[in-house]
Formats: sequence, C-alpha cells, structure tokens
Amino acid sequence: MKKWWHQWFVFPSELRRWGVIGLNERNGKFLLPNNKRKFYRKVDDKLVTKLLAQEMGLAVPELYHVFRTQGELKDVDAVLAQYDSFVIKPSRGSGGRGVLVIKGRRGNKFVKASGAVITAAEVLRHIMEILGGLFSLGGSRDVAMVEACISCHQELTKISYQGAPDVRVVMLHGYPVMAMLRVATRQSDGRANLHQGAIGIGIDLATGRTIHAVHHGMSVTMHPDLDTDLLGLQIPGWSQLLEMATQGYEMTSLGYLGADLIVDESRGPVVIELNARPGLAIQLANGAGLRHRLESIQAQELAHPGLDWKSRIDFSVAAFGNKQAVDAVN
Amino acid sequence: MLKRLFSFPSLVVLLVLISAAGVIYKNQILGVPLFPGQERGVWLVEARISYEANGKPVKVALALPGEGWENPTEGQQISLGYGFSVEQENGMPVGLWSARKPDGRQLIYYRVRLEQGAGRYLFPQPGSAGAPEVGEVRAKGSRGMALAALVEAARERSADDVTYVKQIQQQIQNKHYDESLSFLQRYYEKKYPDQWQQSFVMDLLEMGGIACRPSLGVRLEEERGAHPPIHLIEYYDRAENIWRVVLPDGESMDNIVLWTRASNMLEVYGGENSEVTFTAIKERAPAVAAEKMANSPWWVASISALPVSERAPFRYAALIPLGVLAVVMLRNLVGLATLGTFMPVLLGLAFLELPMGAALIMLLSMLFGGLVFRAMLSKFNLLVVPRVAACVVIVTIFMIAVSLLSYKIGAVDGLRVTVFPMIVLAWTIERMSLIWDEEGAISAIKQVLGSLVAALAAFGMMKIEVARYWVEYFPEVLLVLLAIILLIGRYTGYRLSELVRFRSAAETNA
Repeated sequence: MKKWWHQWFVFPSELRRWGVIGLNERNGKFLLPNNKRKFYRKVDDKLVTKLLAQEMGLAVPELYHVFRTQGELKDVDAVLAQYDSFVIKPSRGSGGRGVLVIKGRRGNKFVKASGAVITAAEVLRHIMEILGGLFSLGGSRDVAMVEACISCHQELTKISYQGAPDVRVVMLHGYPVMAMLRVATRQSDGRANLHQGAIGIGIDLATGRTIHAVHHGMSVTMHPDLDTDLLGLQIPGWSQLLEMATQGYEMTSLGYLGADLIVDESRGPVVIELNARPGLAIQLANGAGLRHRLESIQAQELAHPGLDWKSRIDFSVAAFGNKQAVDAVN
Repeated sequence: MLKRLFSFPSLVVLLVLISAAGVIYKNQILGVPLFPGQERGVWLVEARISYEANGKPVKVALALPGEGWENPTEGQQISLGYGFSVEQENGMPVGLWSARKPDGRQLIYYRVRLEQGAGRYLFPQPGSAGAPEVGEVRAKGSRGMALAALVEAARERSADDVTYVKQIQQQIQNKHYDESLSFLQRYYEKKYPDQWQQSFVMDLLEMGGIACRPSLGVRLEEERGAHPPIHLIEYYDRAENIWRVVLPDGESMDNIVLWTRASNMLEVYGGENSEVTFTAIKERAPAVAAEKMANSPWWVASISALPVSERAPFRYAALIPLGVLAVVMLRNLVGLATLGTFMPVLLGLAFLELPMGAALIMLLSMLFGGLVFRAMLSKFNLLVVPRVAACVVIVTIFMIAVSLLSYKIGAVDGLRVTVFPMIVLAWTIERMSLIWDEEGAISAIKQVLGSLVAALAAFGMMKIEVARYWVEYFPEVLLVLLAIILLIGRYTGYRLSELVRFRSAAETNA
C-alpha cells in the first residue's frame, strides 16, 4: 500500500523490510570483506582487464592501439586513419569519464556518437588529456586506449536515444545477483549513467526479459523520448551474456563485482569493463532489494564453496529468476 | 586472548578509557576545570631570544617585567646549557643568561603569566627625587623651525601636559596634509628607522618642556603572533606628579602592557644577530592549573609543554579532527556529496580566520572568477598540471586584487584571505569545471553547495568554545573522536539521503 509520504521519502524500517541495501551496508558487509585490494588493479586498469578477458577467452572490443607517452602522439593521425569508427578511452578512468566514441568521418573531421562533429586537433587534445591524467583518480598519469566501436544490437538500440545500451550484472562470489539494462535518453546525452538521466531497466535473470524500469528514480514503462515500450523486451544472447559476466569472477577473484557488457550485432555479448564498486541503482531498476539475494548467496557459498560458473548460474536462475516467466517460456 | 584484546569493540572501549583516564587525572589531580571558566582571562606571554653564537663566552641580558603590572607571577626560563640569574639594574629586574662556549643558532625562552587587566600605566615619581630633568633637544635650521612651529601650535591648543601630548600626537596623525611634517617624518625615519615616531614625539615633548623617556611593551593579541617589542613613551605629568605611559601615535593602550621601563630590551655580549620577539596567547584555564600542567611530563602536558610561539599552530591543528568528524558524519550518515573528501575541512579552517559573510563572498567570488578563467583556458589545449597551476596563479592574483579592493573601500576583512587554501581551491575549480562539462551545471552546483554545507558544519564544530577548550587542555579527547569515527566506519545502516533516493522502492514493494 503506497502511503502519502512515499512521494517524498521512505522510513528506514520500510527499506529494511523490502531488503533494499544502502551504500554503507554494501561497503561494510559485501564489498570490503570480499574484495581484496590487490585485485582492484585487474578492474581499475581497463587495459589489464582486456588482456585478462582475452586470456579467459571472453569476447571484448578489439584493441587497436595504446598511446602511452606524449612522444607517441605524432602517430595519432596515422593510427586513426586506418579506422572509420573507434572508441578512445582512458585506461584508468572511472564512471565512463573520458570516453570518446567516434562513429564515422566527415571530410577531415570526426563524427561523435551524438552526431556532433569534432576536428582532429580536438581528438588529439582529448588523448593528451587522458595521458595527463585528467580522467584518472587523483590525476595520476594514464594511457589512452583506442578500440573498436561496438555496433550494438538493433533490438536494444531501438529503445535508446543515441548511445549504446549496456547490461550490468552484479555478482557476489561469482553468483549473478541482479541485472539491469541501461539506456540513454536525450537528457543523459548518449550516456548510460543513471545519475545523468539514463533509464535503468531490470532484467529477469532466468529469461533475460526486461521487467521493470526507472527514470530519475521513478517507475516508467515507456521511453520518454522515443515512446517505445521498455518492458517485456528480450535481451539477445542472454544465456551467453550471463555466462561471460559470471566468468568475470574467475578472472578477477573479486567477490563483489559488476560486469558491463554490450550485445554486438554480429559477435553477441562483449565485455566492456568490470567494476569493483557497482552502484545500488540496480535495486530501483529491478524494483527489488538486494539483501535477501546477497544473503542467500552467502549461505550457498558457505554450504558449497568454490562451485564452477555453470552451477552458480543454475543456482541464481533457480533462486532469483521469475518462475512464472520461466514456466511460460517452457 | 590476544585476538580478543584487539577486537574492534575492545579497541573502541580502550580508546575511550585512555581518554577518560587523562581527563579525570587532569581534572581531579591538576585541577584543570572541565569547562572554560568565566573568570578573568590569563595571558601567557613569552619572549623568544635568538642569536648566533660562535664558540666564545656569551652573556645575554633581557629586561624582565617588573612594575609594568600588578602582582607579577614568577617567570620561567627555558634554555639549554645556560646559567640563569635575575639581577637588579637601576632598580629594574634583568634576566642574565651565561654560557662558556655555545655555538650556532641559540634560542632562549622566557615566559610569564599575566592576568587580564593587570597592566599599569601610571607611575608616581618618588617624592625624594623631585621633578625629573628635561632633556635638551638640539635642532637647528629648517628642522628646528618646523619643530618649534609644531610645539607652538600644540601649546596654544592645550591646557596642561596631558592635553599637550594629545595635541602633539594628533598633529602627527595629520602628516599627509602638511609639508613641514612630512619633511620632519623623512628626517626621523632616516635617523631612527625602527622607532622614528617614538623619537619624533619625544623631541616634541622635550621641546615643550615635558620630561619623557622611552620604554618597551608587549601586545596582548593572539592573532598578532610573534612580534618585536612595542616602543612606548613615558612622560612626566607635572600637575599630577606621575609618569604616564602612552603609545607614540596616541592609539589606545587597551591591548598593550608595559614589559620594562628600561629603554633597552635585550643585550647580547659575545653573540651576533640577536633578536627578541614576543608571543602572547590566552590561557583558557586558571593560571595555577595551567602552570601545573605545563610542568607535568610531556604526555600529560602535551600542547602546553610547547613554547608559546609554537603552540598557536598546534591549537589550530588540534581542531582539524573536529572538522573531519563533521565531514565523516555528513558523508556517511547523511550522504552529502562534496567535491573532494576533506576539502570542506580546509575551507572550514579558513572560515575560522575570517568573518563569515566576508569569507563566503570571498570564496564564491574566487570560485566564480576561477571558473570563468578556467573556461577561457580550455581553448588553449593545456595539459592538466600546468592548467591547474595556471589556475592557482590566477586565484592568487584574484585574491590579491580582492584584498586591495576591499582595503580601498574600507572593508579590512578582505585582507586576511591568505588563509584560504589556494591549491585546494584551484583543484576544486578544476574538478568543478570537469563535473560541469561531464554531468552538467546542476550536478556541479549541487556538489559545490554540498561542499559549502560541509565546510560550514566543519566550521561549526571547530567553533564550539567548549570543544576548542577540550582539544587544547584535554587533547586525549581526540581518542574519543577517533573512537566515534571508527564506529561510524562500521555503521552499515542507511544514509539519510538514501531514504529519499530509494523512495521509488515503495512503488513495487509497498
């Protein structure tokens, strides 16, 4: 029963009853005890993540080039001339900062994902800023990666206002806990960041269908700019996606982990990045709290430690999937 | 067992117990009150003598406070390897330090406690001595004429010695408008660079037939920090048969006490580059307890064991944990977003030094100016570190400009903005403009406002009088702060902001 105050706030007792966890609880109970500092490097440095993922046989966007020093910048024109579309990102950026997506060319200039046109000099400056550490934590020096631009699956781009939607899967001890799709809006300017006005859409772990969506913390069913339905949509290649995300645990040894994937038109799901501090908005997107899922995984891990990723997915799908939906599909 | 001893709860309890033990000991045994009293304040005044020694025998003579205030307490001297004695010279106490062969830079401290309002500014002339002799001023030519004109003007407009002195002082204040005055000023500035006003006024008094002599005082102002002795004048008021102490320029003597009636403060035989500076700080505890505490072992005395001139920065530094606690509470219990974790604490410290309104206007205008400049810089494709460095320079120039401007229009508050942490400000501008680009203006302004709120909270915490008293006299309460911060570190409940953020959970769950 919705109460009048729910328009403004909720009581802690209510949140507790619904199993919603806060940042302090995430950090204190799940993140800090399970994520060893020495493993953070594997996810905080995207270059390392990419190499590890390739070793594991996980699909990742192809790495074209890495600019490591200012001296290498004289090659920028020659390197970029080989590709029509590419993504330039800092290896240690956080929260999608410093990611430049180039979709194509117009004469000497480059076309960004948003359709804006920028000059070669601006691209060069962007790389210089990455090297200078503008986007890395604490301003330490960084390297700039140039990688293939993923052509996102049409099933998903049709519900996104520019920008490729990505799927975030949160895991504890390598068990999938919850998943959501993040799609851009006009307001979020092609970015899939919920703080900036992107839409978060919860995904049923069992079927890969979207079940609930929030925009600015409020439930929605339609995309505000495109008027397309957000619910009941099937994520293409869902079981493959879940398998790849889950193997991120074997790769990083991080107990509390978020995996961000994009579904490529031809290659299927590819791992974009891993995150050792995934946020809590996923609870809102799914309309469900994380606590009871996290606790039942803790109990499962205690009873059967070190299961392989197949058994872990089976457990999560059975425990957290929408059973009615599964029955309907069967 | 050992593991149990180092468990989290026992650590917290241990911290609290250690702290409580310290507080109880100081309160019960040393008699330091738990709360700052309403009684008259006590000033702790310290003279710091420094000079270069070169291996030869050295004698250092420092004039000690004698008649300058009522019931003088006995002073303490702090020096290494010196013999110390107090002698009387012309009826005035002088501290004598001696050593056979000191070498290198030498420091000697002498400190004394003084009750607020105990300063004396009037001294009767002993009856047996008769009226003092008036010194003769030899001034010829244009200088003599200019001086004589001033004396004549003052004499005409005065009724007695006191009003004559006031007239002289007033005339000197008007120097901008009088050519002969500025001529005299240049002469005295050249001849007596350190105390030209004192010599100038004394010459005018003596020409007017008033006996006078130089003496030296100390300023009782905490903000002043270390300062050289203040030059004073004692003149003989023939009507009342007393000596009066005044500042040469006639300013109020409210915050000044007479240190010595001798004309010489410091004499060093056998050393070079000698200097004496004075630092005064207000003791918030009664003199007896403060004295006892200062003489205790260092782990009890803590801050009060330090020389006064070193104490002020520690008083300040000990406040930082209070500000940090405020920020921790705001971030982890309330969930406020700020630019940089502890930047608000530094801002809060800056606020402590300035009146609130001036500080806020100052800060916002510097942020705004910096942002505008940063936007201009972004055209030039500068690398990050030089760009932030350029921002630091601009913020500095901007600050100087605002200071000058506020001085010109008569608001003196602007003058002390130097306390703003410039580097932090420059990084804040850089980060704010980044957030502005990446997440939009609303997000940037939100975070700046969050930082301001946190800075005000930190300021509020550090401003609490009792809290300041406690960290100064019971620094062991910092352990309690530590315990509280550790406890907050283990808090896994909701943040206040999350109660709003997660409100939509009601739609599917309620």
